[in-house]
Amino acid sequence: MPAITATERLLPDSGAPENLDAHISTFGPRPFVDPPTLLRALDESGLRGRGGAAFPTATKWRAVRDHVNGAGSVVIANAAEREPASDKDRTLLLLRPHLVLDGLEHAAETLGARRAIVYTSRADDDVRRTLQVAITERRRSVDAQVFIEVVTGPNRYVAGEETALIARISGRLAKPRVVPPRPYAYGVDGRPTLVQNVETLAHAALIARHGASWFRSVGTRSTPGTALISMTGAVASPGVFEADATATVADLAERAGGVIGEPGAVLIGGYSGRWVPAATIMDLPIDADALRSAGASIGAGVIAILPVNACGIVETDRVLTYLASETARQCGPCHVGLPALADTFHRVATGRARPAGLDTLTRWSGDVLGRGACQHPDGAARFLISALQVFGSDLRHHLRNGACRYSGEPPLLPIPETEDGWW
Amino acid sequence: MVVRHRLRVDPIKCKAHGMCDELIPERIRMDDWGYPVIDPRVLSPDLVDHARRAVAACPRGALTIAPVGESGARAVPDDPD
Amino acid sequence: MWYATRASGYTSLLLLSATVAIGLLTSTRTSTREWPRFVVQSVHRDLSLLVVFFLLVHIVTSVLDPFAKLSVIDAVVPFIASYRPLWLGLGVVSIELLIAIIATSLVRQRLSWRTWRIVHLLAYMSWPIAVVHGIGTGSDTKAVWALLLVTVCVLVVVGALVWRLSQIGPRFRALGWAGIATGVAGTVALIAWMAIGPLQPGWAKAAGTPADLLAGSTTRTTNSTPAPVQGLTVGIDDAVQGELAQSQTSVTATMVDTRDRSLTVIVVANADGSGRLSVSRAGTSLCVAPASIGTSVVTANCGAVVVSLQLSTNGAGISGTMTTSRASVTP
Repeated sequence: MPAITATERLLPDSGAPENLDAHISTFGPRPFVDPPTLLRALDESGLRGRGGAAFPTATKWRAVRDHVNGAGSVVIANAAEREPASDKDRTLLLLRPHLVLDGLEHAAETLGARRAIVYTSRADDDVRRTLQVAITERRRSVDAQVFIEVVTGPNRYVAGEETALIARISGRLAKPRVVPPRPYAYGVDGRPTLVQNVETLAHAALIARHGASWFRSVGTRSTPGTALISMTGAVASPGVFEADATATVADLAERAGGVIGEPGAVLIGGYSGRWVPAATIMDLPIDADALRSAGASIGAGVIAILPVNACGIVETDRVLTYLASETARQCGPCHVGLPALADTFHRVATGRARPAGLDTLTRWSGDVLGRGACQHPDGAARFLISALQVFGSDLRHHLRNGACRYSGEPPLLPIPETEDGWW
Repeated sequence: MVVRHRLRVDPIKCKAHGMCDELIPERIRMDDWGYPVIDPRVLSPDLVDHARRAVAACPRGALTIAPVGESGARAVPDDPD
Repeated sequence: MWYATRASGYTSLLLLSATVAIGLLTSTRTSTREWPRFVVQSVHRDLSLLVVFFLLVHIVTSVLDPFAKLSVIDAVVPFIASYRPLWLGLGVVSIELLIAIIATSLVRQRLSWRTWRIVHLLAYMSWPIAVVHGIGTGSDTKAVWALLLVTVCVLVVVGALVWRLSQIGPRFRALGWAGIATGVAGTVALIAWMAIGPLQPGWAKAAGTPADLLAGSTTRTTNSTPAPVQGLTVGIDDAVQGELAQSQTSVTATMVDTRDRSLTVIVVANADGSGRLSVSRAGTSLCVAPASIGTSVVTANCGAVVVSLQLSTNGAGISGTMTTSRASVTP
């Protein structure tokens, strides 16, 4: 029997959007928690960022607080969610925007923020409208304490990166810059800035109400609390599910209606994540330590199931081409290297390359690691390296024959249309 | 205490002009696309002059010498150009 | 000194052309086994400093030389000189662009790259301006060696430009072709301008050379510097009186105007029939001119004034009448 535990934390069982009244009747009004107390609670809760980097939240907040001076800080809820297979942030914002906004207000109070901003993508018009409505509701309420702005950025993969969205909010193109200095030291308008994923802020809002022990009452020691997971690929009812870290990949697949066919490989962590053979991962809980032993991490909370009768090479080819077209064109090894990798992989996949092409792929993947201003080339390279490992024999088959018997199947992983601008 | 240094390149400023690997091949090699791969090892005393020359030769000012240990923490970000 | 100005000017143009051409090569990342990229870049930088040196010589000698009467201001502010103002002014503009790029390159660390880059692109303009300056002001422009030198300079730079633009990647291809077209068009325009302007006779005057410097002007004599003629008015009709002195080859009559005793008239008659008239007042020379010596009449042209002496000797003395009148209008 799959161990599905406490789901009614972030996502309402009803599946219906909650306005301010419903929110208050479910959770009560937002309490005031003095900064040291809240920081201690966040520390003890073990909450980590849910945007992909899994950085300890308390540490991040403390770093901003340490750098705040008379000019105040800036707190930003990152709702950009540019990972194509991820839908969790959007789901959360459409159903329980006030939980996210509560978390943002807690951050603003704790960190002496001069500005509180929700950063969305131009592609998510419904999210933006929902946020505007929710913010207006809060302004009209007597308890409104923090002025929240909504800023919209371009529909680009790297536009959700911390320094990129800070650049956009500061009035420049949404492109990453070199770090250091890190946002907690120098961000929007030069102020110490917190960039936090919306799901993380929602968890923080609940911790502010119920405390660290409550948060830790579900999940595992290394991965306490619940998490939102986007299930996609060959499952009957793909969608967003709230689960704790004791749930296995197979459990989640069950909740998503079950795998269509037999699972072959799993892409975990998003398009900057990794392929793992199904046999290795299906029975692993989505606990950070367990996943790390398989060389993977939950990343932005995306799990895509590839059945045996699908072509991992074609899927990888499409994702790699997408990632190569999504560079900010600032750093040579990325904006020259990724297209070179994607092109070579494509030629291997379509049987128009020599065997030396495989060595080139391995060599070039290593070459781009750590050589960009942001993590984009690293994500793409690690994704490719995992494909070379997991689909090695398929790749050699493609090299000789140009295709396999599943290459003609409709592709499973969503590839969005690319927008042109950087504003 | 002797401060140890290493070379660092700003990947956004670097435009593959190719002066640096000619001047200090002991620490810089070119990748297949003409961009520098920096060996993060400490600069030995006999290499420091070559490193300074390479830094001065970079037309974009992308190459710098940074103290080892620090993440090269800068107070303010450079102008994006 | 004028030689030094011209020599350093042409040398500067050669060196500047080499600098620009090599500069274009650095952006194409051109290199050979003997000349790696950093050497090409170093040569470019070093050549530009040599250009500055020769330009300093060029400017200093042109200001010091008395021929064109240039002042320090003329070397700094363009287009106000009295000597060929437009073409000289272009030289000033060209040098100032070069100073801008040298200065910004020296403090490169403190500037953003974009600022430095804009100044550097503007400095590219100094080369064509220098070429036009050289052709327009140069007194040697029509000489074969000068034409050859300028041709080589233009070929080298335009050649390097075409090479550089041919290396442009696909995104800016159109810009590259536009640049090549501009370069070729500019060269053709330069040749056409030279054919109808500087290479034609009469260019020196058209370019703005002051009248008194033009060859063939009436105040210039074959063996002396031009003399002023103010103070020698027309309508003089005075008696003159003085003494003769004889030497082996000439006879000299030194006389004064009896009405204006400060006016001294000296006539030298040579054995070969040539003669010279000198008129001075209180030690200041008013006229020195060749004179035609007749049996009793001496005439000379002092600029626009004709001096005529009707003389007769009386032993060692000589006396007569001096008249001055206006010369008939000469073309």
